[in-house]
Amino acid sequence: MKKAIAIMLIALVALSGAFAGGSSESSDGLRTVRVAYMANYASLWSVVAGMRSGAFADQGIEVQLVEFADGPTIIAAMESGSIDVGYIGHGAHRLCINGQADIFCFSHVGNGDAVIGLKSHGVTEDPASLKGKNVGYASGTSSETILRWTLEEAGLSFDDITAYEMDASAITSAMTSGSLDACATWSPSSFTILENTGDDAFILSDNLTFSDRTASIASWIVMPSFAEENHDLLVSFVKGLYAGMDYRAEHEDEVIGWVAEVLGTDFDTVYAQRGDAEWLTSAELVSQIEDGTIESLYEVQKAGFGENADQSATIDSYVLFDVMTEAAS
Amino acid sequence: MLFTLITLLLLIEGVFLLLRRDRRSVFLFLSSLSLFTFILGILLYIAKKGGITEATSVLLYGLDEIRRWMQYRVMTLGQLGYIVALGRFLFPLFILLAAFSFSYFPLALRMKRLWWTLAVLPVLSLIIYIPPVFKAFIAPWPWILKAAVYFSRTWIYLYIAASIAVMIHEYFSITSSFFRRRFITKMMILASLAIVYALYAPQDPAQIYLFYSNDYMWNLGLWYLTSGISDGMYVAVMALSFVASAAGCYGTLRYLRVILDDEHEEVALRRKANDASAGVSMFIHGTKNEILASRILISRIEKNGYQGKELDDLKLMMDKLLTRMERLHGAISSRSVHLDAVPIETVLEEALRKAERACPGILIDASGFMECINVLADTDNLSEALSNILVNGWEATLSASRSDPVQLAVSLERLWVSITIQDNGTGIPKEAQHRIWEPFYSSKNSSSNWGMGMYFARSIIRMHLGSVRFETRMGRGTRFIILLPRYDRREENGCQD
Repeated sequence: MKKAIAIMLIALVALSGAFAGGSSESSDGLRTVRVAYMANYASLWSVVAGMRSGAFADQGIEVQLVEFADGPTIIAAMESGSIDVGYIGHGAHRLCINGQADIFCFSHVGNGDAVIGLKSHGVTEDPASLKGKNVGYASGTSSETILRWTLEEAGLSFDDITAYEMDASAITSAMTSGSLDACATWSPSSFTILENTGDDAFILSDNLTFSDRTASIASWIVMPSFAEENHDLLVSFVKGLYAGMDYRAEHEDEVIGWVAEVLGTDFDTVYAQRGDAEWLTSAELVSQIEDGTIESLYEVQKAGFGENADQSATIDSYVLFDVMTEAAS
Repeated sequence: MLFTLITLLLLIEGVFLLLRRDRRSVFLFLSSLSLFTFILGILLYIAKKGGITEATSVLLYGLDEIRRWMQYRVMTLGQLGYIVALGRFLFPLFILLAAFSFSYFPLALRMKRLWWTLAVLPVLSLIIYIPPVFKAFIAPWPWILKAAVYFSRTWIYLYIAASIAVMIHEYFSITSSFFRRRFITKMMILASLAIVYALYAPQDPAQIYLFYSNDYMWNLGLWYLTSGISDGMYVAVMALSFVASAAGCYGTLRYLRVILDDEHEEVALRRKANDASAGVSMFIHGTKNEILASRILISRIEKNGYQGKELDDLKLMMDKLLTRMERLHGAISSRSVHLDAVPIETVLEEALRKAERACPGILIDASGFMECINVLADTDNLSEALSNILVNGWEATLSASRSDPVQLAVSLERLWVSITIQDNGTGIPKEAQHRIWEPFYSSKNSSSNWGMGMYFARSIIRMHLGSVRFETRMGRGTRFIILLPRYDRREENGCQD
């Protein structure tokens, strides 16, 4: 027993040493940056392209990827110091507007959120057919927002359905197994459901349906204190992202293959997600920053959050345009 | 891997429960079951939430397939949260009840009767955390949420601290080093369960109910992503969990082995005694008839006028042989004891007299008997049993060419009276240690020793609801420890504390 304890303690010390890290200098002189992502193409397309094409290494950065399920958790992890930078979808932008994180790079405007129904369960293209149905959603996320809007279109509310609060993975399993009649979720869960249920599942509404009400933006974020202390590192990181964006434009299939490898899934699953958004190049992004398009998108997004976000906050108080433009120069 | 260890611990406690079926094993099993439920809920939560590195994932789940399987389990956040709530709020109750069940100081005895008072806080928390109740009355108001989280966190830590305090208090209440060593195993089981639990205890079910809500995360932080246990420290926490779980498994197995050895020994001895019983009865019956016939012949020789020392010696020999036959018959046949409340000093004084009679010149240091300690005993049989062990100790001392007196001491061990008999003999060789309680086993080359003394002693002590164990060191002697239930009706004897 004593021997076993001794071995375990030695292993513990060894492991502790192996895992100690963070945003620090690695043995080959590269600065390690811990990057939080979500398991979809939209989250990984630019960062993986930058990693595999060697763009980050050129900037002296080694990227360490850590998977998360949602944006708020990524922000909580950044707050604790276990993550340096992260990718968030639309819903978590509310936290940035409220001052809890800064956006240092725009990623894309997505169309990944969707309300999906099952025909065999009596759900039709008319949102009114959701009345009395079992609907799964992820409370506090863009899933809840798009479901509420969809119900409002038919004059319904959450009281008219049997709503099940679930995590995104459970929603996918429940829809695939037919335990739910409908759900509100996001990509790639939405694609998995559509793919696994054949012709039975269909999209009742998505971000485009409500494009007049909000912009479903995805961004790269950082803690304000980290941004202040690591301005040059952030600029270098954005340079790596820009290079990744440009590499994807020229080698889309190759990048899809790389993302599939990181996600541990097949090429076709990731390939199906390529239509989730309009993927910009660095030149297009810089151009849209300069002509004010990006700022107006963030304005629309902020307005879409209504009273859930601080409407008095100015866009440049939480979006670091200077990092994006400096990285382009 | 952590999951595997927790599952193993639950299985071992389950086997322990099936074998023991007593209050302690029930509480140990319930503690393990609630810990298993708690850890299972947390692993499901982390699998769904993400944020751990690949290496941490290996430490927690082993195979990535297991993590993915857990991630895609269909359940509402309310169901998952309540699984965690059940484990989180019941474990402190069961571990505290288990600690009390191992303890015998006055407060522990009182709490065994008033156990339901300890259930008030866990039940209250379980009511508060029922998903619809939580959603309606707790979640909408951040300050109430914060208060509920800190309230539950406070009482569960107090319960865990109380469990540890109870075990430490009990440990220091034990005066005998032998029983202290045995108690460490029990402490190890409870301590390992408490350590694994304490590492994950901050995981409040509210974090799961509010899975994607930033309010909770922002105000209270996500437990498993807090800076204190991130990266290397997180791995250290995992490793500590493994060590604690493994220690718990080891402790339970050791405890189980002691119990199984005891039961196995009892069964084996009973079988050997039964096997010997039929043959010995026939032998005793035949021999007694021969002895009685011999005595009749001696009487006739006396009537014929023959007198002399040789005839007196022959008569004495026949009487002794008859007495030994009767004692042998008594030892091998099933007997009943008549238990009365008697002072332990009465039993011991009788044992000393019998030892002196059986072995004239025996040296026993028996000073300082405690007064006013009663036991339920059949004085005649119990004193006979103790005298057998005393004589055995003296013979062992002599065979080591020593003449130090055999030490006889009495002490109180919680609800038990502990009688210690220590000799200065050669010690019992390892190969003989498993056999000394067997009927007709003797290591002494003597015509007067039939190897029934220790078997008889053990049988009688067990009939007094007691137990006897020994510790031996070669060349240093052997110590027998006899535990008898204490009969504590002081008012009957007029004794005062």
